Amino acid sequence: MDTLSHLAFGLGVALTWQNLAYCFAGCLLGTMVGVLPGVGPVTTVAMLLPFTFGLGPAPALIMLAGIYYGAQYGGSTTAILVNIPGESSSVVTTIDGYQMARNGQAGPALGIAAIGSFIAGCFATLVIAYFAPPLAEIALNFGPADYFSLMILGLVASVVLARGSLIKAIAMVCFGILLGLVGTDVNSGAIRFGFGRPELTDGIGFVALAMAFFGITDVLLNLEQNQNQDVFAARIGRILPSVAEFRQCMPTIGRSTVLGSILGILPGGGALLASFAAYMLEKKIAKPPCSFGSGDIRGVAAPESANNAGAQTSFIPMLTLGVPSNPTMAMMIGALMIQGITPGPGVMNERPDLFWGLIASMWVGNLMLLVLNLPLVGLWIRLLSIPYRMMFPAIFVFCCIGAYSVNSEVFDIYTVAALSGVGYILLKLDCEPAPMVLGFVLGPMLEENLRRTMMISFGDASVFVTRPISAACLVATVLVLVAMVLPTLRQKRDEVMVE
Amino acid sequence: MSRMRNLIAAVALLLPLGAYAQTYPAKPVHLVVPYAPGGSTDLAARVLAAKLTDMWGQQVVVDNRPGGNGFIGMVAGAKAAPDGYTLTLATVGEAAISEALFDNTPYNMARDFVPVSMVADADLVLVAAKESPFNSVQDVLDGAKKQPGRLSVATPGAGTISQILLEWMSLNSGTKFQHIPYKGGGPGAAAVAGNNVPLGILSASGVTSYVKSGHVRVLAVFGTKRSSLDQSWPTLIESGVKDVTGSTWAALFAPKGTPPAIVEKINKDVVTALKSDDLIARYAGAGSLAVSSTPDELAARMKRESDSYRSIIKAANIRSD
Amino acid sequence: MNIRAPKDFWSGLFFTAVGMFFVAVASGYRLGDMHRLGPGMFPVLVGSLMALLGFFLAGRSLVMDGEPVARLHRRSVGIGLLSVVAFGIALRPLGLVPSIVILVLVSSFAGKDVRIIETIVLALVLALLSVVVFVWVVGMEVPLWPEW
Repeated sequence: MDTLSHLAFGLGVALTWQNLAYCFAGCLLGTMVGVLPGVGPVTTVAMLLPFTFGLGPAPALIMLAGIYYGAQYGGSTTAILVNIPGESSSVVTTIDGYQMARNGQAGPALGIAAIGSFIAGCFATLVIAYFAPPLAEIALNFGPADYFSLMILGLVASVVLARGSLIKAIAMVCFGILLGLVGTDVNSGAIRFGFGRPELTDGIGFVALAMAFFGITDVLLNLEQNQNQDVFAARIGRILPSVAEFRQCMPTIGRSTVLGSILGILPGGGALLASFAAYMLEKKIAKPPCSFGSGDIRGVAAPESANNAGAQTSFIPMLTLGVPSNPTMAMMIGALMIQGITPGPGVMNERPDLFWGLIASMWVGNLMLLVLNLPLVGLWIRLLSIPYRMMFPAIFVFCCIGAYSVNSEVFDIYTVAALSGVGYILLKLDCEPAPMVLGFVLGPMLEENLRRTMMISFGDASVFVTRPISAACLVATVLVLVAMVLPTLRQKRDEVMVE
Repeated sequence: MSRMRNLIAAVALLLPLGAYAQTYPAKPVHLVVPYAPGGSTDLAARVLAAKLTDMWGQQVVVDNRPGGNGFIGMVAGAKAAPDGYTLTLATVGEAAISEALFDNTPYNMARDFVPVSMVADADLVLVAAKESPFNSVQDVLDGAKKQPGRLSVATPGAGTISQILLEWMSLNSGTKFQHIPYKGGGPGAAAVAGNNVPLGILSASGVTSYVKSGHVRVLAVFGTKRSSLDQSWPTLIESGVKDVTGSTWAALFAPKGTPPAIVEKINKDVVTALKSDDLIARYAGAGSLAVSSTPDELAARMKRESDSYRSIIKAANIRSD
Repeated sequence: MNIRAPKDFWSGLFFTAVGMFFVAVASGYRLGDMHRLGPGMFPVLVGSLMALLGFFLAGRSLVMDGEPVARLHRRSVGIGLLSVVAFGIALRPLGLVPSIVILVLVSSFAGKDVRIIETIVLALVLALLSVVVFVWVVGMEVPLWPEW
């Protein structure tokens, strides 16, 4: 059988009434969960796990998968409307998405996020269908040295995200890495920077960090900037992007989808790296006039397409290798194992109904999400017409409960308060949080892989340049650095000439 | 819903104490798991919780309290009211290793908990990458003797039962290996399958898919007898390494001071649950054996294993620095 | 000596201080060697880099002109952060509903335009919404009312 007939077979599985219903339930729940802060897809999947015992493996996985990619959709909604990224992969969406909302363009921003995600989802589904086994083999051969170099490339390139100074952005990346190191060290089991607080043994939570540096810090800044007038200039604008905007975004969506599909395959931070990488690429290659950072629609289309593509292709290592690329995937592996199915290289041949049914259902699910979300856009942007004096206490409530709900730990609320203070001061000093978040998420993995590489090579650092993938990433890092430093130097020289 | 539960709970509290064991459980029971959702211990807990919910007609809620090497969950379980409404599912790590490994463990199994029953047991195996030259335990030991400390072995983490078994194997065979901890069994298995590390000590269920695909070979199983997953795998003892056995297990505990009648009632029902066909099948799917025991058997096993692990930790100088 | 770029100066100072703090704490952990990097090595390296960058920023701010720091609105920021802390203090003893009311009432004073009755209604609506969504639907572990 070729891939097309496999897909047709999968559609047959996905389009039964029962599976359609579970797919819809999953997408709907996922969207809700994505909008709520703190309550992530992991919690939801965990809660629904006993419920799936009674279902067959295919409907169970179809529903859980719907929750997972539905949450990716939903996460962008709060990122755009109130500057709160629900998931780490929607951090980048806040940069331009929230600015668009403030310019009265929340509708087009939400619209392009949904459309971009849909296109990306469709493409990524085909990637899984055609290339899953060979791609899985590539992911398996990614060694610790390769991961290290890839992350260095990601971190160095991330400074493009910030509008201000290069040095501040790199310092913020360092700050993020250091905050990310708080907690138990994987290699030795030692607790670092815990200061005797048991709550810190697992590190600072991402949700607390995001609530503080994005949600609450932004409210604090708004309160002082707009003491009397409202934050959102023109409240309800158009609901959908215009044809011109759509055409402007098409190449962006295309490139971001490809990039996201590739990075999503890597276990660990794939979807996150994808959203950052796509944004950086678009910002670098955009021809003027472009307004990245102050509300460019391509700045929303890029990360949203990329993270959705990445979310889909992250099923590849899960299904074909049994390696979870994130905690939600780990839950899904658990759900399958309880059904007596061990995800791994054999699953495609042993359970074609499961494999192809899931792939086909992803396509169906993406269509459902589009149909579900486009009408919701009108509803969401109506929320923005609530006066800000009522909106901001609501954001406070949202952020505090969100941070608490992750571990039911009051300490996390105090963490939010402390980090909000730091975040406010840093923003006042023109130090932007996006590069810091990337450092926070990738820092621990960077260290883990560095130490693992050195152990396996017995202290010989040359592996970083002798392994081809690693060497390629390091060369790219140097190129990015040169490309960033050169214009700055030239600019300086110009300034000197003028003086 | 939850207001309703509180009401029922309040009524239950007013009942005389003698009737307590007969009416147990009269309100939702919390099952503390010191791990995040999604891991093998969490799965075992959820399957058991679902079964007990059916049997008791009361919600058994899994309460994930991950973090701090399991300390957070264990402390929560230890400090809970000893009324049978908060139980703790601990693994070999929390129950038999942590106290020997860490200088100041914030709980003490003997002081804070009473054993209820064994729950699950899973085999650990020594695996080699397809590309590696190792086809038997003897090959591995020869290789390690040729270049002491330069053969790398992947495990699911520092201070886990896998690391202890690795050190034990080194001690009893007069060899030395390099320990490479990963963040969990999945990444560890992938590392061996991708030949980033030639050897690994990992749970059998985590490597079966790679065994089927031919990416890794199982060299031995760390059990007293051969694995139910595949009878052709020899045990490590058969392969000539004396005494080294161990597995990754999970067991149910209640806070110290829980009335014996209630412990007995929970034990009886948990044993019934663990002997039901559907639960056995679900556990088998996840690669572990549903195992039940009396409280005394569990206490004896815990004592035996923690004593031997303590001496290995001391002899091999495993530290949590 | 004049500070010519206050934003750079203060952020430089912040980065230097935080970087040095992490280096100081991390140098108490084992550093290890090239083969076996200890738990202290990586934070010392990253912290040093951060401190150096901060030092450079602060130094440069003495010779290169830059923007002044905009006024800090201590009152609204202070009230905002206070409301979050108050929520944390109140949550366990008082339960979710009273804590949300406290959070909304206190935080509303961070704005300029305070309307007491409207705020009380808002607090009650948000409390109800949170209880329904987070406690009943999502099943968050939290007491709703004070325990007596």
